[in-house]
Amino acid sequence: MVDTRDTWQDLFNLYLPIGVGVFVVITLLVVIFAVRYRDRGAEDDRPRRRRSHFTGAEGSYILLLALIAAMLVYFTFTEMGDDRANLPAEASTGTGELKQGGADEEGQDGIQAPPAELEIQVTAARWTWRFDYPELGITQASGGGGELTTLVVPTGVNVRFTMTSLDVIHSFYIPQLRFKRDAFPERLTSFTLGFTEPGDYPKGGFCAEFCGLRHAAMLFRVSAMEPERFRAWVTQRQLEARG
Amino acid sequence: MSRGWVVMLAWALMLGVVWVVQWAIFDPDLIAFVLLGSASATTALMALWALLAGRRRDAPADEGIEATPDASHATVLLGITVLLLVLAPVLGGWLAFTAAGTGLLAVGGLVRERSSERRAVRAAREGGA
Amino acid sequence: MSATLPPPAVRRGPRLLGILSSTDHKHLGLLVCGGAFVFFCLGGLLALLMRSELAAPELQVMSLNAYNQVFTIHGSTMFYLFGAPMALGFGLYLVPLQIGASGLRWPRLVLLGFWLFLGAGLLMYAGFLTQEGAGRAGWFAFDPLSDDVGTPGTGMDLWVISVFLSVLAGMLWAASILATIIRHRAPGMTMLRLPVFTWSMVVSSLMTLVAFPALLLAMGLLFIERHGLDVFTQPGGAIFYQHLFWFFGHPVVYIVFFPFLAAGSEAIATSAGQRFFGYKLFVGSLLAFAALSVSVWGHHMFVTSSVDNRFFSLTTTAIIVVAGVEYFDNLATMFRGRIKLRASFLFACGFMIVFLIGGLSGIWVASPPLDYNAHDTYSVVAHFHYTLFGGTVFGMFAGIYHWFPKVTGRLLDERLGRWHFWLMLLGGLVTFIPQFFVGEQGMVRRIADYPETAGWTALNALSTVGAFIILLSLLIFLANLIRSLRLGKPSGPDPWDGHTLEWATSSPPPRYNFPAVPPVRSYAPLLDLKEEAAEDESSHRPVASGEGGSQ
Ligand SMILES: [Cu+2]
Repeated sequence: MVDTRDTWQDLFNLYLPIGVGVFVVITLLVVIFAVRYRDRGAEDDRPRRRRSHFTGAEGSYILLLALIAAMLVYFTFTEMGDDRANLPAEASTGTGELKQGGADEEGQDGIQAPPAELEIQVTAARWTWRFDYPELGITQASGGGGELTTLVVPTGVNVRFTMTSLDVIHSFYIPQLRFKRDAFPERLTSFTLGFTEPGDYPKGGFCAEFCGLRHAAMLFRVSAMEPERFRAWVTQRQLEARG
Repeated sequence: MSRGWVVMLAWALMLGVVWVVQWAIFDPDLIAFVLLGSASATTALMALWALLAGRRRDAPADEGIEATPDASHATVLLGITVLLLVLAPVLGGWLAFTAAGTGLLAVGGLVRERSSERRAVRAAREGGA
Repeated sequence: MSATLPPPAVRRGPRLLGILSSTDHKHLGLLVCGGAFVFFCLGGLLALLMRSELAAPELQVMSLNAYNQVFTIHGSTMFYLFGAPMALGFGLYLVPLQIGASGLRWPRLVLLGFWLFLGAGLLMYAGFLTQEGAGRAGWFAFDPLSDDVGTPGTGMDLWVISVFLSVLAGMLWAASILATIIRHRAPGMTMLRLPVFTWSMVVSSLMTLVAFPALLLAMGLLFIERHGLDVFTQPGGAIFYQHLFWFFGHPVVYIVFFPFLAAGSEAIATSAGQRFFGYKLFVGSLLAFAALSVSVWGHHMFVTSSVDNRFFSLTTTAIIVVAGVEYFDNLATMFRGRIKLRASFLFACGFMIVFLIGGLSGIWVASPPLDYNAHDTYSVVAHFHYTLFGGTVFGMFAGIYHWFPKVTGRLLDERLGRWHFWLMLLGGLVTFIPQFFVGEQGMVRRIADYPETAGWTALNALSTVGAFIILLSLLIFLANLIRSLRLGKPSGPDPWDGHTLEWATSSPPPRYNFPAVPPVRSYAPLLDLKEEAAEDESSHRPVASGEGGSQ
């Protein structure tokens, strides 16, 4: 199953120590040099730096930097390859109708998209969200009056999202999944997410791309349910829709 | 004496290398491909300009003659003309007519400044020779 | 060199009208930098308004609509009216002095640019007086939000015109600076003897000339679209706009960085009393740095699903190498020096440390999976404020403390300078460090309000406190500035034992800069002369400390 949190955590664990380490070393060097080599007045007879370039030191230093950069790129690319949701998503322009995504779809790199077990169509519009479940005949929308839409998903399976916008650019962002994607008008964006933990996500979801007056209020709730509870929810919603 | 064009050419080549990497190894969309390519090409053109300009020796400043007037009111008028022109579509077409007036004054002033500049340079060259 | 025209018999005093139409590069540089500094203060006040609003959940200070205007004009001011003009304005003043020229090439174009820039600033702020308010689509004004449906009104039109004018002005200045460097160098001043600051202006001008036309085009098309013609509403138009915008928008953050990096480097070399280390490598890495930074714009589009994320991730991460070289050279310049701990040196050190946070977090967001979380959250806000506040602002103050005596003939007060530095360092850390944490927890940008339940209140309040510490530090600077302009100690031509040509003429320099340009045999011509003089003296009377360090 796609796990965007895991990908993020792996890279976090690599990048954070390196970043903090480099920061500490360079800051210490700046401070030590500023103190140690400060001007001490006329009787100061410490040796001066004799050369104004040192090709050997510079060359090996550049090599070291290049190795660090190469390592970071290697791990980033590896993680991107593992996590199918992070492939450049298949995006098409122009069509007004939402296409059905499926297991046979190919990403831009020719790698198969992970098998989706649930289809959700996301529609963003100023300043609200709508989630359609085409296979189940369910629509989650705001009842108006500032009420937030709830995205209900099953845990443990891949969920395939297909997203568009009705007006300006928005961005679908779930902080707990460490994932966001832009929604464009006249354009479909697809991605796959997996939800591991059941429960209501305390922060829910945000619109991350500035979209005008009530951008700050363009939130949605996220509720992940274990498959059995999700099935019960589906049945209940279908009954409501009929009744 | 001027090797500035070498620097520009070197920079154009660096951009060219990144551009080649982009399409040889990666999968750029058309816009990214064109943008990076035109950056490299623009710099190469600037290098060519610098090379050609370095061969000419017509600017008075190259000979150490300072003829530019200390103040150029005509340039200020030209700036105001541009401001009026770009505002015209928003605030009303009448601005365009005002701009035409200030524009004429500005161009006239610039022509006068240039000709007196040329006279001063000629005088200085004769005086120096 | 043949004769220079004698100056007019009666020197008029520097009357305002004369300065506002002056063709003297020193007046032009001061006009542009002065204007940019005024806009810096205005943009800072807008930032304080925002921080006040964000100190607690709910709306206290202003409406949603007002907040959107305020953050839009804050960002737009800092890039279009402060950052780029200040960076190029430093170049307008200093480049001719550093290369031993009597002035700029095409001074009239520079003057024209100043008036366009002045107009740009007035028009952007005039938007606040219009019925719908000023531009409010963010400093990058993505289409379709920025079109006539998404953001109607005259204020937004004025914003588009203003950005167009400011970009045009920047191109005029860059063209003049580059042409001056290419054609007006003093005898002996080869390209590989240009001072590091002038080199930073070479690459900044090149980037300006290559990248700014993209935004000129975008603003032109956006204006047309706002007045009835479909441009970006075509399929793929929104992505096209983003490409054009970021092709300008990424290079611009380096255009406002390189000159101040180099200002810091000059302050370090001068304060340490020794030649800048690794000059040739520094120059090469500046060029490569500039080439890379024109090739990374797509990292702003990682979450659009429409660029090859790997390519832009690679080019962005590669910046580690070139940026690392600049740090190495700055540190090596300090090594075994005899550093005078002046305010300019402190700000250069502040630059290195505070910018480092921005640089390292930049490597972080260059990794797409990490950026999928950070993008458009306060993590990114903190990241780029560390690059701009650490790079541009600290570097600018290093430059101001370094060159103020040259420009005015008076010294800034060092004690107030130290207070300014330490408070600004503290303020910068207290303001932006908390933003990394709220961003990591998901707080997105450009919101006037955030849910109380999210638990971001304390960190936001802390950030607001930091912003007011920065205000305090800037007030100290303003007091120092005003005091020193009138009462500052006279500096003489060369108060710091400078290395480069600008210190060989009087402070402030005369109309055509140099009565006679000293011989140039390296990138530190004045240091050469001083070392020669010291050697002559030591051949008569030997001293213990041998002056080494010829290149
Ligand atoms: Cu939105």
